[in-house]
Amino acid sequence: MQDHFKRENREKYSYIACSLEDVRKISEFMFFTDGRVEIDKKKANIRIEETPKGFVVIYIDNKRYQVEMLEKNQNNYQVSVNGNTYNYSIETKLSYKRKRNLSLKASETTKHDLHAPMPGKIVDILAAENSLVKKGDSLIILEAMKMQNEILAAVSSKVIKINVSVGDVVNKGDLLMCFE
Amino acid sequence: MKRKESFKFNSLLIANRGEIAIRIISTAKKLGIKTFVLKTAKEPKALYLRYADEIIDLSERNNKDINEFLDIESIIEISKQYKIDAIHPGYGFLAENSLFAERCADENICFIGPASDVIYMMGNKTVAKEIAIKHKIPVTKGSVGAVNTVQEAHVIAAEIGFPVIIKAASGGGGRGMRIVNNDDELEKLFNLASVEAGKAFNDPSVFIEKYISKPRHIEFQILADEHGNVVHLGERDCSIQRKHQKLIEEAPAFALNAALREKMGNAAIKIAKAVGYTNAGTVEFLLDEKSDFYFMEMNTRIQVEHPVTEAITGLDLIEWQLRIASGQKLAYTQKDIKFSGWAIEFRVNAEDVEANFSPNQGTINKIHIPKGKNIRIDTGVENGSVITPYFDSMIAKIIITGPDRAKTIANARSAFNKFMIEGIKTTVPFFKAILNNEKFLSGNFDTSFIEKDLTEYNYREQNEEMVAALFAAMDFYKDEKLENESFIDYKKGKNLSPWLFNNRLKLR
Repeated sequence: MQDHFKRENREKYSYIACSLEDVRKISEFMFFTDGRVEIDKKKANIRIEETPKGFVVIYIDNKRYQVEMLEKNQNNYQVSVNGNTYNYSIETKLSYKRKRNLSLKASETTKHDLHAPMPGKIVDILAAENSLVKKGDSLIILEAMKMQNEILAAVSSKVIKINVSVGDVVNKGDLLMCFE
Repeated sequence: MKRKESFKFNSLLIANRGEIAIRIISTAKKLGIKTFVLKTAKEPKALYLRYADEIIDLSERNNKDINEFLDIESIIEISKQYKIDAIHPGYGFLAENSLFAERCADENICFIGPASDVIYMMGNKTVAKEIAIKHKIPVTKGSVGAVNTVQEAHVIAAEIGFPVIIKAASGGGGRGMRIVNNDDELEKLFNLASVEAGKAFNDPSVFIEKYISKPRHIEFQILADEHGNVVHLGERDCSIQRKHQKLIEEAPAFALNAALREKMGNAAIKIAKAVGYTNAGTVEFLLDEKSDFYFMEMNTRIQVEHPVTEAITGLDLIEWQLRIASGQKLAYTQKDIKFSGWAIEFRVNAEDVEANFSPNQGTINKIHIPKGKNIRIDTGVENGSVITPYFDSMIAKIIITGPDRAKTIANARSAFNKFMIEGIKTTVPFFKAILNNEKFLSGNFDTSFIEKDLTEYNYREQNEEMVAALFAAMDFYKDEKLENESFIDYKKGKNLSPWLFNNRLKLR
């Protein structure tokens, strides 16, 4: 398959010019949750270009998609297309199976931990450790960009640990509370 | 060469940053007024600095806890030191601070805006409402004056009937504002609003009024000179809001006909005259389903969305702010004000729409906003600009014009299809979703549009997911290939082909 690719630019990434046939070959190995591979049914041409201003653009026929590599960590990719974010991991058949089994197991035992949805400052905590909360209850008031945001309980559960205190400044994704 | 006109002032300090600083400078330059801006350590390489005639460097103070644009005494001090004779506050910061306007007057510096006491009167929503009632302008039922206790709130809410809205008496921009649907929620939301108001505006007092459902936010731009002449420049529909923050504004408003425009415009003029208003101002109304309107508040500053009014009237509002402040008479009477075409403004914010619109800080590696005769771009950023946590998240205003609403929307779609940015996430995919929403296209929407009618917040092109996978796959393939080329024996056994894609395995 390597023969089908011609590298055009070696700078930041290599941008590869490929034909529909190449895409079809790649697609054979692609796994989409919604099963969409419409591209194969249409005679579409694929082009990858770097614009004069340095943006990377993929054309499918004449439809243009602006792409950007946001994050790359081994085989995990975060890609932006037209400003929307997509996460992919590229796996071998074997590693994919293993990963799926692991994630299935994990979801069975997932604890509903509460993470900060945005960066901000904790201005009030409305639940106590070991207290029972109902879905929709206010748990924390988080001030971000001078707005007070209520953070609500996603499920009815018991608070087993509170990891922050009033006045703390938190980043997006920081663990705020653990539930049973 | 333009005839040099006489202004009361020769030098102008713009006590602001970003796109509005650049906007003000461009008009000041046209009029031959020398401009000054403040450079802070928070954004020492900001674009606006390059437009001014003189930069006053405050970056050595390097105190990130102090907002230079809010420091009244320091701004007054600087103005005296540099012999600056006028200050334009832009919007936000000190734009509606009556104390600042008063200090300017004390020091004989021309404040570009209304008189201090007018700012004070209109800045307090309770007072503003009382003035409107006195002049028989319709207002929503609500508390008379501030509501101080939860007990009082219960009584008043029961009297006017739920739903009610709690608002900060000195507020704006949606802070300290809560909608209460029933008595059970009242205590919690009352306290939240009050605490928020106290933090944001240094005044915890709130008032309560009837919440009008399905309202449109319609505001009228007025200009008033120091000789008693007041005109309105038509309306803007700012109903596309999220958490009371405007995102899209358009002029004219789809919901208004000429008769209603005249009626509301006259109400706006009446309010301005009642308080002896001078300079540019905006009178905000809510318009309900039955086309009844209610006075909400008056903004005593130039607004973010002023370009849509400029687009349909052909006037330069900043120019008129400067002329009026200089004592000049309005060159137009109401019948001279003509409207033509349609304009829609989109506020492009550095926000991650998929993460609940959380601010997206970072560096704009590259930005491309298409140019064209139907596109006006007011921006304070360029390639390499840094989005800091210190200021608001707006990076550009894109104002699209056209002969009518449908054509303007089509122009907007085409412009946003060509928009590109690398480095930060913006509200552009969100705007594309709105531009493809039936209800928005029909023109029949109200302030609950984003919450209730917009089901998908991010517009996705067909095959977008596929393109993302393809791009990731190509990158992976390239790395593999490079690795195989440069390390012939090393990790030879690690051949990961054939590939499988696990779509969005990362749980979000």
